[in-house]
Amino acid sequence: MNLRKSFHIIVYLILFWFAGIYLLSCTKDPVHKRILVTRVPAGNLHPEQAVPAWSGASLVMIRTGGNRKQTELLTSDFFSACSPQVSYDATHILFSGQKEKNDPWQVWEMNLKKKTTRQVTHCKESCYTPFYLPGNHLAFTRAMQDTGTGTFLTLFTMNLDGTNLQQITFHPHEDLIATILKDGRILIRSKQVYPDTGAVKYLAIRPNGTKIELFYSGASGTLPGTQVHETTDGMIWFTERNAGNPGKEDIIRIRYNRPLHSRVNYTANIPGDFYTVLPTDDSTYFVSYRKPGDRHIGLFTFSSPDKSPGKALLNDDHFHFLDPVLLQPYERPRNLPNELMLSYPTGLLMSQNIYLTADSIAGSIKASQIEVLGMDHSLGVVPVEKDGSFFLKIPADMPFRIQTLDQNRHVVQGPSDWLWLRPFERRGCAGCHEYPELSPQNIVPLAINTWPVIIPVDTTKSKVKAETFKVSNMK
Amino acid sequence: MKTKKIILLIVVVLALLGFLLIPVHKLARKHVNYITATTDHPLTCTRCHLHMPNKGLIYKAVNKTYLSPYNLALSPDGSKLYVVARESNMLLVVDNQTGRVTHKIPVGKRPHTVVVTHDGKSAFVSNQWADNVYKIDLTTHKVTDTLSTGNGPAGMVLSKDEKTLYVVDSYANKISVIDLISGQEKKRLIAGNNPAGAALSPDGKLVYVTSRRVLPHPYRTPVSVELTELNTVTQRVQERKMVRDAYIMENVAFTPTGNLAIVTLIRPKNLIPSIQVEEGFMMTHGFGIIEPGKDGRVIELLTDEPNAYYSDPFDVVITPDGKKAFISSSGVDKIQVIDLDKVRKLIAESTPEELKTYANHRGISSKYVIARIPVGANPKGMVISPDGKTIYVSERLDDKVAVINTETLSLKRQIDLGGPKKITVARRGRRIFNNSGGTFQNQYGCYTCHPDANEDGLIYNMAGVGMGRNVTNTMSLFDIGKTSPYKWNAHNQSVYKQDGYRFSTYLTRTEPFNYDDLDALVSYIMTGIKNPPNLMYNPTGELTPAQKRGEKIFFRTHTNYGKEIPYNDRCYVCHPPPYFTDRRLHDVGTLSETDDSIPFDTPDLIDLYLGSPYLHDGRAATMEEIWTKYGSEDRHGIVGDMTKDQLNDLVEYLKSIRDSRYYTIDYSEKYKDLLKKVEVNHPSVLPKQDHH
Repeated sequence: MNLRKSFHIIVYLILFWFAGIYLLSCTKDPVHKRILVTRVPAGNLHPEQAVPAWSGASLVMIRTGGNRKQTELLTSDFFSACSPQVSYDATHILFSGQKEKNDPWQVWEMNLKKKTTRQVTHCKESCYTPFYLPGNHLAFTRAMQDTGTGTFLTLFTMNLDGTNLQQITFHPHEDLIATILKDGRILIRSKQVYPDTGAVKYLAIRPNGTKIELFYSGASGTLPGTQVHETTDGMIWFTERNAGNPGKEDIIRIRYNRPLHSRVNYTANIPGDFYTVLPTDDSTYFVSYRKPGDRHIGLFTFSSPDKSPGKALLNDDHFHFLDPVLLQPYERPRNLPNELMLSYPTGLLMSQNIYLTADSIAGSIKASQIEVLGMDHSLGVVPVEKDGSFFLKIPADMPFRIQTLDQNRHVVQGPSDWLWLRPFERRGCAGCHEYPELSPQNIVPLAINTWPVIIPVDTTKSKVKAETFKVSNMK
Repeated sequence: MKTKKIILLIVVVLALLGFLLIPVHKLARKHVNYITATTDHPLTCTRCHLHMPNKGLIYKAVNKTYLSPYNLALSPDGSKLYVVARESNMLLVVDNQTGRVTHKIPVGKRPHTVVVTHDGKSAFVSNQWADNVYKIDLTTHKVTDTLSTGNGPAGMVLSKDEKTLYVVDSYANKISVIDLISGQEKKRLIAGNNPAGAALSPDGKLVYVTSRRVLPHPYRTPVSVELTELNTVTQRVQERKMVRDAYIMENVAFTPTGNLAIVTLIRPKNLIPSIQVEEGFMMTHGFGIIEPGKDGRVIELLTDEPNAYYSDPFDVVITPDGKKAFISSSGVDKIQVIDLDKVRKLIAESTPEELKTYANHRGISSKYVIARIPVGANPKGMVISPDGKTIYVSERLDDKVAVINTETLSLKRQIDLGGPKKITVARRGRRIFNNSGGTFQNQYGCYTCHPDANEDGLIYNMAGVGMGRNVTNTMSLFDIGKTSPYKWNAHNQSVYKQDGYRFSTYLTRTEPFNYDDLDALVSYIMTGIKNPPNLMYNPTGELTPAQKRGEKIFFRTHTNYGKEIPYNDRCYVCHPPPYFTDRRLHDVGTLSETDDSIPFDTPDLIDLYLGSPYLHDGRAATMEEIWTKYGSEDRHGIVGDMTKDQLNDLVEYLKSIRDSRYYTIDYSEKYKDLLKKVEVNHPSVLPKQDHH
């Protein structure tokens, strides 16, 4: 009898144990099963507005699984809140927000469990699109004051505790962070705004502001979106406004390994507009989608095999639902090392062969010198070596462009895109406007057998080159 | 009262322990901080002291001998797989149906390659560290003959009539032609620098031999590597094809028609300042397409992509229909599949100028690389089944063989060869060493510049501060545990520091190794890399007459004219045995204007014959040049009085120096009086600088 009773007790205990686990798993807040989305009042979305800073917007958390669809407003004490980004352990989010209507936008961090917020940036100007960086850092975009050449949007990094604020982009562009790539670099949606307005491109840059390079450029007139997602299979997803069909926005997929030549338009034949896409690792997609004829943008699931918008998760005449992000832990990008010495006043730039250009692989042999252009004046003309190489020492954190000149100082090609060097950065290029998929030839550029030419060139000296140093003391 | 006493006793004991532990802890922290050059490395004694000894009881208890399958062959009917187990010195016979190892045949030291006769009854295994080839009866699984070769036998091919065996002598830079009827070496032909793989053309008329190290070339000029074309009728080298801007050309395979051969290769960027990894500024990887014959072209293409690199290509096999080539990319654990028809089309449609450009084009691979198949750790040798439907790949650091379906281009299964299941710390470090995952976009691994843990023979522009400065000769990693400090400027007191944060900042340019991985990597470097035996210049320990004369010069104290040589100008003072380094910094007049530091760490002299070029910046192509072309001022030892013959003798002796584990000379006894005065730095202190 006792044995039987004991057996029953054990069985009941086991059952209770399993039931307890089941119930606990149901009641425990499954934060990682949720999506955060930016809810924008229907009248406050302007298609031409690149910066995701919509007045009156708020962050909403929704559950996607289960029978009961729940939404929760997270930023009720903010006048506006946009651009949520989830921490690697999914316990916190960064977002840009306005407490009051006329406040500048600032970066805020929210503890998702306690629902408490703290202000991270305290700038006079507005700060947007914050992203977590490895090592308790963050990156964000900051509007810069107009100093006579227009208003730029510039990238900054800082510690999460608000210290160590550093500017990392220095060109006259509008830079918005699109994502942090798994390789540790920041992907920027960038548009030149001075002296002319340029195309919108994605540029990749190290978090210390070095080694900026073109990552993706669409066809002429296309406008890639501000939200980009990289999946574990090496694909990169975003939306892009089609140049030939104004207003039509599509889902684009490229490969990380070869981003410039792997573009696939996923929704070219689907009517309606796709404003943002959120892929997940289980092949589910969440899209911000506007049906033809609708005035508002809803949040839908997207079927990859059928390539069609599926079930509407959030669809309301009074709101747009944009920029969904998954609330679940994810792999931290690589924490790239930093070679900079911030007290160093200059950086070095070496170009191996100016005759190697994108327009012609053989290049133009007419050019014999280069001119370094600052924001509003020339910084000097430098002859190139016989092999087409040059080697410059340039003040750090100063935007410049380079154009090639012939003997008579007529422009052969250029100017290039804006560049800058960080303090102690050493930067190399295979050529001028070179085809971005070409690696340099394995030869010693003649220019590095001399000391670098100092920019700005001292025009009081007849020679711009320092004495050649000996490669070795060969006898 | 009694309780009070007990409490008092406990307090006293705790206080005593506290007194002892706090200083011990502080000392340990100081010690670990010094060794690792960090302040937060875990303070666990076993992390180092259990995994760093390279001999003795602890070493034996902690480490394992793995199989490390390398090259492999199939029986003619495909029923058996013969796998060279390089670390355990065995040839494994695997039943292909069951996937079980049926026999383990002991072979010589460091076996490299196996070839099987057409009747499937015999196999030949080259023993790279024994300078011979074993003939094995595959019915009895016994070694039936030992064929002598040159130094470092590696790749092999049988002639079509199977009367001749061509053996690549990888350390001697030769090809041994062995008559299998007499079992004698008939002749030895000159190959490229560090030859490796060999392949017979389908008509049996040609043998191609690859080589890994670059050919001698003017200082800081573009490199090239030799593909040796051997005529099997005349048994002479009929052509030496220069594969330009490439090196580490490991293996070669012919297409079935024989009109093309494919070689694996790396295109290094050692002449460009190492200022970034982006845009392929350090290494690119690919293959060469060789058109046989005197006017045949050599075309190079990459398998890399703009943001992804497929490092350390090793072996290549081609399907019997000639349509696909498979390349084992050993640094990224992938098999790359090349559509050869697309390669032919690309070549046919391109101008010579375009083809030259494509050799540096990281995007062009999307035209012909049709798949990249993931496999186990460090894929090396491959063999294709006679029907072309299956490829077997040795997964060297998994002790397995991957079986790949060539039609679905997918992994069918893995054959477990039965190596130790426990992965030791050093083994994990070896995987890290051989994998490029620790470098930005997988562009290169430790192995790339240190193939077989040696050095690649290239000089790099390390661009410490500027560009065009600090040109650096790559150093070998053979048995470096006792030769700290590291780097030519001796800035690194330990391998920990060498491979730590600065390493990631200036070389790998991605996230540094975490401490577990760094511990493992250091453990492998400190314990797992042995010097080869130097059978070429010192096979028995008995020196030749010339080497003996050279030894006397090395240990001399007076010039030919009887004048005493200043103490610090004697060879043995800076290069004392057993490691032939005093671990100190010296200025021997080799500084150039491009060098930032003045004195240099004294290198060890073991297995020097494997390591040209010489000096910190590799400017001396030969040992002789150290004293003739670049050291005539008697600052690097006193040589001005020596005759040419004496210099030759000295060089002969230097070439004979081998690891102390192979010694027969007891230097400590023989030169007791001389060596007792020599100061050798203790490894736990950074070297002091001595000026000559």
